[in-house]
Amino acid sequence: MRHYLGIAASILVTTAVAVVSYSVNMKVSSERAAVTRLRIALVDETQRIRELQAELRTRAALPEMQRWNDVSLHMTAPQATQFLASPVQLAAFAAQPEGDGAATAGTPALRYAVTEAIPGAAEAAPTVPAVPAPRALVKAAYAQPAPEPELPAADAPPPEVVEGQ
Amino acid sequence: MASIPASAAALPLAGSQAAARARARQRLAVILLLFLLVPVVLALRLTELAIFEGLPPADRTALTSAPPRADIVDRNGVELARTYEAYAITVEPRKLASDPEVLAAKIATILTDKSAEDILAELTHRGQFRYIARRVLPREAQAINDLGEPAIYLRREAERLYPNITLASHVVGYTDDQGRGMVGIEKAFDARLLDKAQRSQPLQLALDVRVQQAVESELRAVMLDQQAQGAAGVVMDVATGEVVAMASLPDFNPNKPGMSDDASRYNKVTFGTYELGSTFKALTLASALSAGTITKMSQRYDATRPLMVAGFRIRDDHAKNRWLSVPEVFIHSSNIGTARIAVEVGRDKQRQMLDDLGFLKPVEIELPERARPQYPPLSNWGQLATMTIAYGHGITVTPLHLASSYATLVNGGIYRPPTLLKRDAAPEGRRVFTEETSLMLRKLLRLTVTHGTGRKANAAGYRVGGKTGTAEKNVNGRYVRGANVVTFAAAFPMDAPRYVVVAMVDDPRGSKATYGFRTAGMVMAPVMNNIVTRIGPILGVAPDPAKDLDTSDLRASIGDEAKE
Repeated sequence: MRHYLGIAASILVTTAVAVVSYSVNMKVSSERAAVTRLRIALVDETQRIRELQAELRTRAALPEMQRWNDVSLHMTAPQATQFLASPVQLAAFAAQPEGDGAATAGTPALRYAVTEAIPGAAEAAPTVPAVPAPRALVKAAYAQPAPEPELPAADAPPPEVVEGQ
Repeated sequence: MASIPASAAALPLAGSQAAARARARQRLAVILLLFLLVPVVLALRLTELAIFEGLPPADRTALTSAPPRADIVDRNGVELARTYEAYAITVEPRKLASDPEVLAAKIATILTDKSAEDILAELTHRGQFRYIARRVLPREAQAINDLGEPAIYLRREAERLYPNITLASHVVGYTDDQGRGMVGIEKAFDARLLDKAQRSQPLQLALDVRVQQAVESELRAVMLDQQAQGAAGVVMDVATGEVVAMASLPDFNPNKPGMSDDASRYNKVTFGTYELGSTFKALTLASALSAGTITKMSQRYDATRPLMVAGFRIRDDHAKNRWLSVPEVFIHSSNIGTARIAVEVGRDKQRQMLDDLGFLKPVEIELPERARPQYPPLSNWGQLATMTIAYGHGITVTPLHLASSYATLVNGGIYRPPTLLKRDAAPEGRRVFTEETSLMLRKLLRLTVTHGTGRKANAAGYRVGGKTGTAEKNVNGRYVRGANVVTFAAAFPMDAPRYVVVAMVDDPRGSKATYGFRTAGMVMAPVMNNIVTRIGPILGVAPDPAKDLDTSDLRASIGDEAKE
């Protein structure tokens, strides 16, 4: 009797170990399959992104942008006088008192850009006490709208602007 | 087994039985050990499989998003070339189920760039497998799929796409239909682009597409205006030798290289050699300053009448017919004065300088298309050759040679080989000119733009310095009257040079804008002005009318008519 008990016990233990091992095995392989599916999905998405990027880049090709500019935008490179070297130079344009028509009539119809090359120039501008208000500054700069406003050149103008025209 | 015949022997000797038993026991022990060894071996193998080769299968397959060929990008990461999965329409003509003529007409309405006859020819071909079209848009591929013809298959094929169409086409090059690089960077770095380990990383070039576009569009404008045969331009960083833009016109569409002619596919910047004329005078003056034959700028040279040497007559285009000081020789571009300066320096020093600048061998650049400069052999490099080479005749080099020599001239005198790959730091380089020579040349070049032949290139605020060059065009060893190659080699800003720009137009015909003139000062100087004004802000050079290079010491020794 004891002899059979031993055999039965060993069979039971073996079966239990086999079942547990197999379930672990199943679990691992299902996890692996999930990872593989995820990888495939990721690769598919990456390829889709690359396709869309290719289309976008082709549509926004620089020769195409140049054509837009030549045909309808007519932007030109900024001139040396459109760059400001210091906040003092910027403040000089806002010095005229508000509402003085005679003074604003004489301002040049140009837009000015602060150069990036001078660190702190842009940040320093609002702290200049001579500037009465930012709104007044903009007014003074645009007081006399030119027939063909000179925009600062951009190499990649947004095409929507053209479609609106 | 061996013990059986022993036990079956008729007369066992005393002790032989015991010996046989001992032997049998020994063998049994050996076999037992062998049996014990088997599970150990199995266990080892299992451990190896589980731990060392136990990578999940996903990592070993080709499941990766890396393109089959690496992308090529510019210095800011903008793509110049990329690979994408395009659709190809293929057919197995023998399995065709519907009427080929009807089908061909239907396909022709979808693929508008193919004629129905061509498609019908493919559909009725006797072969097993034919291409109807390659590189088809997804929308068209879907429409053809919807026709429902079972013999027509859609295939995804890796195709090379150049999104910027013609931009920098000569630099980037193109691949054949098997995906092997044929020209340009595609050919030079073919192995790197295909390498499994590196292809997920794009190859980064030194080019800046915005600068490239500005240079190409300005050159195209002048080429059309002048009805010229071609144009070329280079922009180079003087400190690192990086080529920021390299343009050659006419250009071609690398997406359809077969549709272009040979003349368009040819890169004038590295594969075309030209006599670049007076732009060489800057090099001659630099060699004279290095050799010590020019000790002070007020030194004068006789340019009263044309120079007769070995039956040749050297004359000036802007003749002053008087003795000229060194700055005057340079800014009025006097051939006679330059020839006299070169003779003082001598042949050997001239040759040595040209060798140091790399003018006697193909230009150092990654592109496979590089031309060998042409210059007289040593036996034929006499006084006449020394004189003509001094002002850029009798030697042909590529525009890139000229750009790299001007970079050496203005950067303090250190030659660094040009490169199309982005560099993190400037390489060591080798010294060709001294700091003093470099400074003097910068002043002379600036003076040429403020007071000499290059006045139209004086882009406001950018402190441009440069030299014009007008050379008669040499076709198959003969000079063509009235046909010029006009060049402008410039650097900016001259007080602290950052970029060298070389622009060249092949055979300008004159136009209203240049009052019919075909000289570099009239044709190229305005182009240089436009190019510098456009690329300056992109390259981070701010115009500043308040800054300039002090040339007052040189202005003291130039005549009154140039002073103004």
